Amino acid sequence: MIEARNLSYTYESENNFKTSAVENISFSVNNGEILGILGKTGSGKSTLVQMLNGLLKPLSGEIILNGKNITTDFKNKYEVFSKIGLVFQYPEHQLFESTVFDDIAFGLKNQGLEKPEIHSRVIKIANMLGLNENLLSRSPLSLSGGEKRRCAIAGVMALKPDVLILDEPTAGMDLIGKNFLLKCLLDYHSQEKRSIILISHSVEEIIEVSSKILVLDKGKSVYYGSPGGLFKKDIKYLESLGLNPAQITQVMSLVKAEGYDIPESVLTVNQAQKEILKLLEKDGATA
Amino acid sequence: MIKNISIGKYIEGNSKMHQLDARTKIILWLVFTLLAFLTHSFISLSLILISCVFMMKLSDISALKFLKSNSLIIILSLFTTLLNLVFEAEAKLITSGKFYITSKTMKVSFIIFIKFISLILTTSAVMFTTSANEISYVVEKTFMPLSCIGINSRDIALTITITLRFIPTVLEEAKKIVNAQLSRGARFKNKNIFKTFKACLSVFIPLLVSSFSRAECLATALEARCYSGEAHTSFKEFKFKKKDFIALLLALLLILGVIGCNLWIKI
Repeated sequence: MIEARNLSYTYESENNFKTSAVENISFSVNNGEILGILGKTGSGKSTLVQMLNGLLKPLSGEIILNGKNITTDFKNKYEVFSKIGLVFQYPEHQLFESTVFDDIAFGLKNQGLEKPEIHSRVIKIANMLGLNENLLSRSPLSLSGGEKRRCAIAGVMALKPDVLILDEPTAGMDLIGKNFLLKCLLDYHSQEKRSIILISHSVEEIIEVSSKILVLDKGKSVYYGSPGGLFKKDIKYLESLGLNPAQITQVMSLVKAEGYDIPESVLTVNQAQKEILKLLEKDGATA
Repeated sequence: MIKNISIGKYIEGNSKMHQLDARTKIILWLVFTLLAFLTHSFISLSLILISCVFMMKLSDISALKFLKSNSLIIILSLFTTLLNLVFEAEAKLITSGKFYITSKTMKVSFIIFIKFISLILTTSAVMFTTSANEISYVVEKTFMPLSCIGINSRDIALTITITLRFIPTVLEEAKKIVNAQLSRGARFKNKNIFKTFKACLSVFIPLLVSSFSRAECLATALEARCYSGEAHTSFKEFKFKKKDFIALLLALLLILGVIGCNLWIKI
């Protein structure tokens, strides 16, 4: 479990001009939970995650991982890096080994694991992320965009971090690639039962997978709670945060406006399907 | 360390140095550098150093900024000075174990240190106040005569502009990759030298790959916008003003002063 308490961070520019990137943010993610972090570009998402694994030192506030403060209670920052795995934006830009296998195994080798252990972990993770065996001996640079991305993510997942943080993992991907990656992520989540923090500016993506949502605006936390609660808020307000409700939520709110009996916020297509079937059944009964 | 490199770091401003024509500034820079290299006399070097500090003052950029962006070179030159001070065979002034200091080594080290500092100050003062566009303009004009032997000065200028433009970008990218590799398990401080080397490779290779792909994109983009290296007009006109003549006159005075010092005063 990871917990952030009153985190703040300020950037200092060339002429000592201070801009506050993150202000007083608190949240907690239990084991097996997925926290989605939403926000416009420049809302402080990336600064926040770099603080979470100790790359940036928060100006004030603390980060507690399983009861230990990450800035004071660990031997060195490398130990923190291995417990809190961070996947950066466009992680495929860091691939460098000669084969996909070696690239995924890079971190494991650095941890000094035994060869058979490394082998089994790499194979398992590669399978989970849909990288089949004959890809493993190829150069990572020869893979397709989506495969590269999954290869880079696999390198961090193989370390089995207590918390996995992904900074816009689906940026620049097409719909099929996106959905496949999210499916892989959910597979990983259901098998490993560890905490995941997912950052995105796509509402649909976050709603689909997260159990909790944190919304940032100009470095401040403006919403923290269940996905359902967020869309009970005024739509104009949400749009000002750069959050457009999922298409299905918009459609269903139009249906509701027509006078049909539908709950406040419908978030996923599955939920919408159920509600519409319910309506149709009711109609059938009255007719 | 990475973010404190001064090359290609133009700082917006409207100081006296900013207002000078880029050509004047490059000439000043050449004069200062050559003088600092060529003279060894203490008094003329002090003269140069004072002029450098004057130039820094005119640029309206804080001394702290100069120190910060050159911290690495300053440490390096201090180190060289120290080496010079300790390892030189001469009559011993101060002895401590194997090491000793002589009057000559002291003088030589001090002179070298002043040379370094003068070079650093002028280079930063010119770099901070001259934008990449202006530098490329100067290069273009300077190499113009080469066109008669088939070398296109516009190409050289463009290459330099692009190089300067991309230094901060590549540094930024390097920082990002270092962070990313750290979080996926790279160990840059390792007792095993092979592993440290491997960790460094994990930064160099992605950096090279991205630089090449960026270069390719850039080349395509240039072609797509019909770049052919032909002469073109400039939005900003470059004209010598009164200020430029004053600056050049001062530079000339400095040259004469240094020559005079070398001829008549022997310190």
